[in-house]
Amino acid sequence: MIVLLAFTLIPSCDVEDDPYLVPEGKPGPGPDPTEKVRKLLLEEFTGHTCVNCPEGAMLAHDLKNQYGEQLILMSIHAGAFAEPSTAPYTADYRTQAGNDLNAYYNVLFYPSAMINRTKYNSQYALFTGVWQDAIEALINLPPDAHIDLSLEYEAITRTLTGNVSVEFLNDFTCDFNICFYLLESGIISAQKNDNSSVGTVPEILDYEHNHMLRDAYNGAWGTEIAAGGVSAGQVETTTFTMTLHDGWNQENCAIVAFVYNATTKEVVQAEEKEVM
Amino acid sequence: MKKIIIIGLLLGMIFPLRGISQSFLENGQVHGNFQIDGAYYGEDSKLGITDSSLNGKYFRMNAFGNIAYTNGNFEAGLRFEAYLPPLAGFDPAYEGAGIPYYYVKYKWDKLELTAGNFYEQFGNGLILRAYEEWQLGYDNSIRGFRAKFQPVTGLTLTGLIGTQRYYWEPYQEGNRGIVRGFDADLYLNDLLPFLKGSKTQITLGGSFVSKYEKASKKTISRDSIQDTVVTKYIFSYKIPENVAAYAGRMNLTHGGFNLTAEYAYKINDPSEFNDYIYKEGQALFLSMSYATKGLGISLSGKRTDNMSFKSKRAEIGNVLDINYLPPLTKQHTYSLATIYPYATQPLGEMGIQGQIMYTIPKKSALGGKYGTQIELNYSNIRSIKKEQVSADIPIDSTGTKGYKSPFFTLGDERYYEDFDIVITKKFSSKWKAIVSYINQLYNIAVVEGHAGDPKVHANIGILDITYKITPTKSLRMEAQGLFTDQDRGSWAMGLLEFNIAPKWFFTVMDEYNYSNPDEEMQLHYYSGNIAYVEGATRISIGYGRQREGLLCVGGVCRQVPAANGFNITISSQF
Repeated sequence: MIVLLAFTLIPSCDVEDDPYLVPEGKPGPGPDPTEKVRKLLLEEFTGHTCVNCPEGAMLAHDLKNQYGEQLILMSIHAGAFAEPSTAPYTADYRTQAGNDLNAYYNVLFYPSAMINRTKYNSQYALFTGVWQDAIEALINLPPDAHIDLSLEYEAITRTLTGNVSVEFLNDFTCDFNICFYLLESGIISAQKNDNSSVGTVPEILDYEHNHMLRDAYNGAWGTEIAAGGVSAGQVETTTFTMTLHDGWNQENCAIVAFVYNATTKEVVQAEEKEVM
Repeated sequence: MKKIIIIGLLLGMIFPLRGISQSFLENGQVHGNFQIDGAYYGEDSKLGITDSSLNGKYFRMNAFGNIAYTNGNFEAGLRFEAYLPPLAGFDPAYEGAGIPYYYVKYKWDKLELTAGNFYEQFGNGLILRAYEEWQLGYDNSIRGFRAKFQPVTGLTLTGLIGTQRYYWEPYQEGNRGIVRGFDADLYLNDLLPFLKGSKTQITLGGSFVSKYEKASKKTISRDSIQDTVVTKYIFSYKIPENVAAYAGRMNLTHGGFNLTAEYAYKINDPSEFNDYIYKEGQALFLSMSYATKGLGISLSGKRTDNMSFKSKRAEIGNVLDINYLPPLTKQHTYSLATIYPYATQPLGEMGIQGQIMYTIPKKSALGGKYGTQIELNYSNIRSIKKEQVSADIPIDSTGTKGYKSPFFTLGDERYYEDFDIVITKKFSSKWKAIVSYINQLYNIAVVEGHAGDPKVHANIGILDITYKITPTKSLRMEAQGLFTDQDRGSWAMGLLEFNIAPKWFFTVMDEYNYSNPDEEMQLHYYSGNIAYVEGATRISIGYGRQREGLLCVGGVCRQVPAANGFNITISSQF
């Protein structure tokens, strides 16, 4: 056995030649707006004193470049690295919904991300090395639902009204909940960093925080949209109205609506729309 | 149940059922050990521990039980573990209970076969070391087959194949790789007639390890700018599915003198840990020592360059390491000396360590009636020098060779420096003292990821005095001080330990962070502990507050969170 093993080891070397990156072409044009495709939600847990998080955000952004509209990003500031600290880290970007998710999914390292709140290799909160693997495991699956989301924003009262229609594309026996999360991008604020290819080390004072979870209209766990199972073709509608905080820039805000299996908590479908 | 069936089948391969006789069971021996570590955590507002952060998990427990059966050349065993849930600071992915380790082994005249889980090391571990460290929550055992063959005296050949432990995850293609290894160890004094009986003993060795891991899609987008028009392109990484490493070593002993050298080389191994660069890895380890009565001197040096070697390329945690890189730093045991422990940097470091141990003879003027032991240690670890592979490729750029590194050039960054002197003296049959001074430099930005924080310069003084009240009762006192202007500031520590040999041990201790720059964190970390020992059984109960820190064993570290509460440990062996 030892001799056989010795001989099998000899060819066990894959030495790669430069160039190490093989061109695959440009990203695809993305789905037709009327086309029903599965869209995945990437919820990244982060914090402004987390030195590895800018690299995680850069990876998430790079995945967005590749998967386009099929990947929706969300940045959740929670945990010890999101706590306000001494200047210039006095801001508090935590939310009740983010804290609830951080605790429920037992997030212990940052950055980590959930992909559709679906376990990959028995874990919910995944480290950066497997984000693309987890996305690839789901992205090409046919959709189970389709979300139509329309928004109206009234500038004087800062009131945002949303109309949502959810069409289920398959039969299910479970209940479904729907969540409406408000995100804001373009927030300039300090961020610790230890990767010089991302920005200045040890901190980026004018770091641009994007896709930041600002509020969950109906809480971290949303509200019921379908109970006792659904049939293929069944359509459920709902509306919501929320007021944007004065400190949020409505031009950089977006709503993410997603439907999830109330038993497993796995996201079934997601949709994103800018406020303006 | 599944594992018991597997063990049964493995037994059946070696011993057909009709061959098992009453004598097989009668002549056998059963031995083992177990340990239970439990803790009940309480709230502590000063440490930021609240009911919410405890999340209902007030009582936590890590436990294991080893059992082995031996009968002549046959051995079988298993280890049961439970983390219900894991103690604070241990990876929550271990939560659960089961049998992660089981094996059968049989040794014939020249051949030993193991089926199941095993631990193994080739040379100094530079390309393969599978081991377990309970305190760290570290276990990278290999599950598969191993054969050791000695065709002639002095030549040992080892071959192995298997998959490494990954929490409780059964192996599936894609969740980690397969490890194969081969090692040859030649003791020349047995093989070469002219060396037989010589005072000079020479051992040569060579090893080859390869991992196979199925490639998964890994892509990156890059911008191309032409006439102010930015176009995105997608590139996929070439992923080598078979990554190999090989090493050569020698060991020479002549009287009290010993020389060890090992060199390792790893082919391209792009991974999450090295940000997907394609540079080869190298490691060199050298050690010389001399020992005679009353004197021991050793000098070691090492260089590692891109030598993280894991059986899962996407993994960045303390799991699935195929190899082990010696730290070349002293493993301190006094508590304040362990506040700044060094964690080996697999991506690149160079270091030296020198140690001298001398016993001033007893009944001499300096040595006194009982003699005096002096120990000196010096460690210095630095970065390696990195240069661009070409002018247009920044160092460590993903998807490139990464960098080039002149082999004998030191890098500019100091990672760790440690000078310490320890003097141990017994004054009389009742009094004994240990005095120690340590000077440490600790690059907290590199070792703990505190980017931007200044290096910690610490001076540490330790006084350890034991007074034997009676032949069975003794009192031990420790006083320690760590003095620094960086990080959490200075500490003072006091400990009293009262022992009633051989069964009872009582300890009270306090560590006081008296000069923490945050006045609210100038806290006392107090604790009390009672231990009882009866034969091979030890029971210990304690209460107190534990400071946040790092626990390192052999350069591999685990974060220890701050905690408050009761703890209990029960251990025994049979």
